[in-house]
Amino acid sequence: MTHYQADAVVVGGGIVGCATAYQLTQSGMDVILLERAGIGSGATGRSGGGVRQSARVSGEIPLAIESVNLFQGLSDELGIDIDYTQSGNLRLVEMYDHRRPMQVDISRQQSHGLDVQWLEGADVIEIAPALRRQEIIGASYCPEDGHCDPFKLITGYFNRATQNGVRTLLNSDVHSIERNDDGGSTVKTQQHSVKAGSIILATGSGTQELCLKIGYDLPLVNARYESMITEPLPPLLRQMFGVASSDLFFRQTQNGGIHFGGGIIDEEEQEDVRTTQDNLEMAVSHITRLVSNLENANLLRTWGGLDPSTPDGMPIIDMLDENVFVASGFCGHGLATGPIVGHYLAQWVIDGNKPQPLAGFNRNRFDGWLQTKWTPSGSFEAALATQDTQVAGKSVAVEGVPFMTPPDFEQCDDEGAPHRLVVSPEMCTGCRMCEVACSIHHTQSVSQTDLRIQVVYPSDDFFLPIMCIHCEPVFCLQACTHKAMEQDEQGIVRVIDNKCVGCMDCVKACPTGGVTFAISRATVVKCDLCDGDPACTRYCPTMAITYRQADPACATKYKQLIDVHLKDRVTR
Amino acid sequence: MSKRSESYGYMGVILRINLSSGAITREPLDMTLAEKVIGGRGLASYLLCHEIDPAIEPLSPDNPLIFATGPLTGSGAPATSRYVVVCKAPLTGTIACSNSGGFFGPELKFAGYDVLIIEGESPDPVYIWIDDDKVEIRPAGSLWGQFPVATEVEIKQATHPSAKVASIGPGGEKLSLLAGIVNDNYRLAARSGVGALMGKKKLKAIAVHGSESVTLHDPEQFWKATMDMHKKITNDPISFGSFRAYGTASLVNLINEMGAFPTRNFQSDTFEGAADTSGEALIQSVLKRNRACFACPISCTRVSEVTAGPFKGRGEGPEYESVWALGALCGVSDLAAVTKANFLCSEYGIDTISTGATIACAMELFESGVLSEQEIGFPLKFGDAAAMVRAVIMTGDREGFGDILADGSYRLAQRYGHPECFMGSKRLEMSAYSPRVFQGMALQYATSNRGACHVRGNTVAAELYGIPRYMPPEVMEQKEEMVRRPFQNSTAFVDSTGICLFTKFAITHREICALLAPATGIDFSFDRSIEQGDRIWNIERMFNLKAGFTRADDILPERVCEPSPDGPRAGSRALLQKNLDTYYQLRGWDEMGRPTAIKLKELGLEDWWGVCGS
Repeated sequence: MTHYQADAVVVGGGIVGCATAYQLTQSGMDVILLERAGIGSGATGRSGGGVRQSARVSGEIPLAIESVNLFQGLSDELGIDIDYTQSGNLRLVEMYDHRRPMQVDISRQQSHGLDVQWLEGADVIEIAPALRRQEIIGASYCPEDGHCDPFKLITGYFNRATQNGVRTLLNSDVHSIERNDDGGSTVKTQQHSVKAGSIILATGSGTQELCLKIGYDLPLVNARYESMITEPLPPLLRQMFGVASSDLFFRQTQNGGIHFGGGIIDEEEQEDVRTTQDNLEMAVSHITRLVSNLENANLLRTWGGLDPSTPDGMPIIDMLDENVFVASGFCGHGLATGPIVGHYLAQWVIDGNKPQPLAGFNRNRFDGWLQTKWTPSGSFEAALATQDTQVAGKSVAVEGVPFMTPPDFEQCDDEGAPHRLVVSPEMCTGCRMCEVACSIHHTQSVSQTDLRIQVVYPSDDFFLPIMCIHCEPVFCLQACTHKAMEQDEQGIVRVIDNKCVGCMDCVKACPTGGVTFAISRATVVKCDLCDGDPACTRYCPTMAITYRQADPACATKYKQLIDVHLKDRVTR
Repeated sequence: MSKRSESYGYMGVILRINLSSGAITREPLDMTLAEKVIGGRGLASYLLCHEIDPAIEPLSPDNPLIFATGPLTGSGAPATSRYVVVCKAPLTGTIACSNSGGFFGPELKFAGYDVLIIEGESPDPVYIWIDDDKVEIRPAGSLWGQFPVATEVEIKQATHPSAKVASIGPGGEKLSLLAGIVNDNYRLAARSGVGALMGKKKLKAIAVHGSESVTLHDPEQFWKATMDMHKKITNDPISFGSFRAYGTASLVNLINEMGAFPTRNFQSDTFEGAADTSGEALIQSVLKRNRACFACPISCTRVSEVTAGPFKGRGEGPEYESVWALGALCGVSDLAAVTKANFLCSEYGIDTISTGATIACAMELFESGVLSEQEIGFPLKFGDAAAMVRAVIMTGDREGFGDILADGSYRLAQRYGHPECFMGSKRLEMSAYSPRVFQGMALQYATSNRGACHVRGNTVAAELYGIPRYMPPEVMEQKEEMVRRPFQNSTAFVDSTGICLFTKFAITHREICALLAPATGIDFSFDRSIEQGDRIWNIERMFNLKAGFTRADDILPERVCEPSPDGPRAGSRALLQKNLDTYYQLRGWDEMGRPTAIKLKELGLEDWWGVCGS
């Protein structure tokens, strides 16, 4: 066993690992890179090469935009031509039925500031004449997207990191991580033991297994992708291509080969990177239908790869434990965002504060009852319309339709304020899913009584969930004469079950109707915000209830709504 | 009777109320039966077959009105809001199974009942109040004659503010064969005339309030499956995109552009006014917002209002079929008028499809000179929006010529000697997908057990959306198997579970099985569930055979078997006869469309053999 010591150890020699290692050394850190096989041997080297901002989950778009800005100077920075071409991304629509959903999806992406537009079939052919006109209804087009050579990209990062002094241990599979008394950790492989202050796990398809060893069950499922490349052909295609109806992607590399393939979602989990005849034939017949003159091209190689996916299509970038970081679950989009993730991750390791752009990638967004076994969905769903609705249907915008436009939280968001439930009644459809979720979370059944949240129907077009909004002043707590309520430092009020006698003084004092008497327990019950991950917000399909840092004025507004609409306490 | 602990997913109790004697009894639900025919449509159909002789007169006290929920109803999984109403259908004489969402079905389960059987007839108008174990038959008094919205307000005041109400409007009271049962103010279990039977029983309404919950066999697994489903639905461009944004009327432009939008009583298949009455137009004018049934992310319900003009009104809808029946089928392109007519149908509690189709039939008879202005009271021409709305009111009130319209287009066309003007099968009017274009729908309309309806096997999903796989509409080959298995059998299963059929745009039959097994603890494997669907279909078929229907009733109107005169699919026609023999064979039926002894044995229904055997 050889012992090493470093400021930081990066586990995983893919794009995220190499970029992070490089960025850490730029700030003068001493870094060791551990890789279980070879550099770029996992998802990075097997990827499709796309550098896309379009056709992504909304939460990932800002990061992707920033990454593309980074890519423009990357050949210079890395001292190697990474074959980056910003020739645009076309997501092709082949069926009439997909036309409107795609247009809807485009407006969603535009609302996040992305330059993406709808092109009719003829306009698509104009910029990509190799496509067959009769097969193309139209496409989404993002001119600033493009593609690069994944091998050259990772080679560039690895070379730079090495020049900066990163020590790399290849063929080193991590089998344990131990915490040291000094706050650091020791990472052990068969041959090595590495002691470091910080650990960064950029372990791709091995993440789930490794994290389980250290006690973290992350919702990651490895999805298999299969790709292939033809012999070099004369220039045919400039852009990066995807299709709405399946997982197919394709591009022409700098030396002329057509590189294509897609994700294969198996019925059962399969940790197998071998390619299959069926999948290859499917991809071949699909691409030859779309692109003319490919029938006679020879295939040079085929390969498969695994990439971990998360339930909502966004990566998990988080600190698991003091100074143990993870960045994984890139859902097949990691190549494009890897460089920027490396940049911010290094910044986080160095100064200890989570950079704002990584804020949305916490693992606790999957906490509670969402920690379920799930299967990654194919990109058919992902491409069409509602990508960012995977946890709960969030923002499918349709212009001019108020209830199809996600609520605007600009007025109420306040970064300094504590997290609270915010109700957007214009989005509420009255479906009572929040009741169902709350009830399941607290009582493991769909109860009709003892509800902590309850939808009311003041009129036929106005519905409102009623619950505690943890308001100030704390009427319920003040009214309680049995010391059966407590308020924590976040201002969250909870019922102390064994002290509550069910006198209902708090019920009468509550201005929203958020405290209710539970017959089955003979105490009152109320919202406890589910320890920071409210079940109602997870199951609400329309963002009518969200959990956010809200200005107390929102609470006042909610109380006014209740005053106006529920004078007579119309219940459902 | 308390809930039986082993009946997971089910409440385990059948509530039986006899309106003649006033007897209220509770019976345990036979769980072996639940395994065989699931619940909802399957269970209620099975029960009906064992309660009555299918040959009885539909509007007789012997015909029970069965309200049934499925094991998933009220479970909290997405779109688990459905209940069905089963009886011998007043309009058609076939078995009826009308299905509705909202909140009534789940509430019936929360009160502790899977099935509610209403027998006999009350001498005076009454309503039923069910509050968990407490069940009362109360005099309806001033409720008789009221519209459903007013009825609900009054009943809620008299019972519980959170009560859920299913009632009939004046249409049902006056025994209109177009009448349905209205729940949650505007939602109808509409087709086949089930409201007329409720009216015949002098039962104005049923109000329910419940405080129990559905017990699940394996809650953890159930919620896993639920979350998968929730994710799928909220990612589905049709369910969570089109249907949420535009409602079901998002289909108007699609179907019309295909040349499959029956117009002017099926005289044409394209409507020049389609765009004006489309889902997109609805958003621009009458729509106020969307709304959801219990636990449903799709929220396709339209809350709408016509704020000014002669068609001022407020309510829910119109849905695709309503837009079509009251619009294109009558040649009307005025969306305000269509919306108003739709509101009126909810108020009178009559089926929009059959009402629109009956008025369209009358319009054709008027234009061809069979019906006179004197007889109707005013000119009833295609495209006359005001006349259409007026005809709806007359139908609901059974006033003047409306007395004839209220019995549907089959009886109207027969009465005036022009049976060829009836556009349906087994006395039920067809829906908004032209059978000239969709060969799958042609076979479905002809063989559907409740007459020509679209939801027993909506092959449009395959023939337009490619779900589960694309089969071009004009193709004949393999349509028999497609209609039979993935549509009719699968739908019979889905309708029996209590989940909404609309989820099937986003999730598969297999995924519904994956939800049922942990809910009930019963093995609902894919193959078994398809077999259950097959069994349910055959039970319904047997009922109809015993009620006197034969192969000769598995037909379509001649008009749709002739070439479509115009539009993008001009020349196409329903080629039903080519498919029918193969369809019978695949079903295991003889050439007369009767299940063979072998088939019945296979389905465990052999005890029925001999009653209608060849």
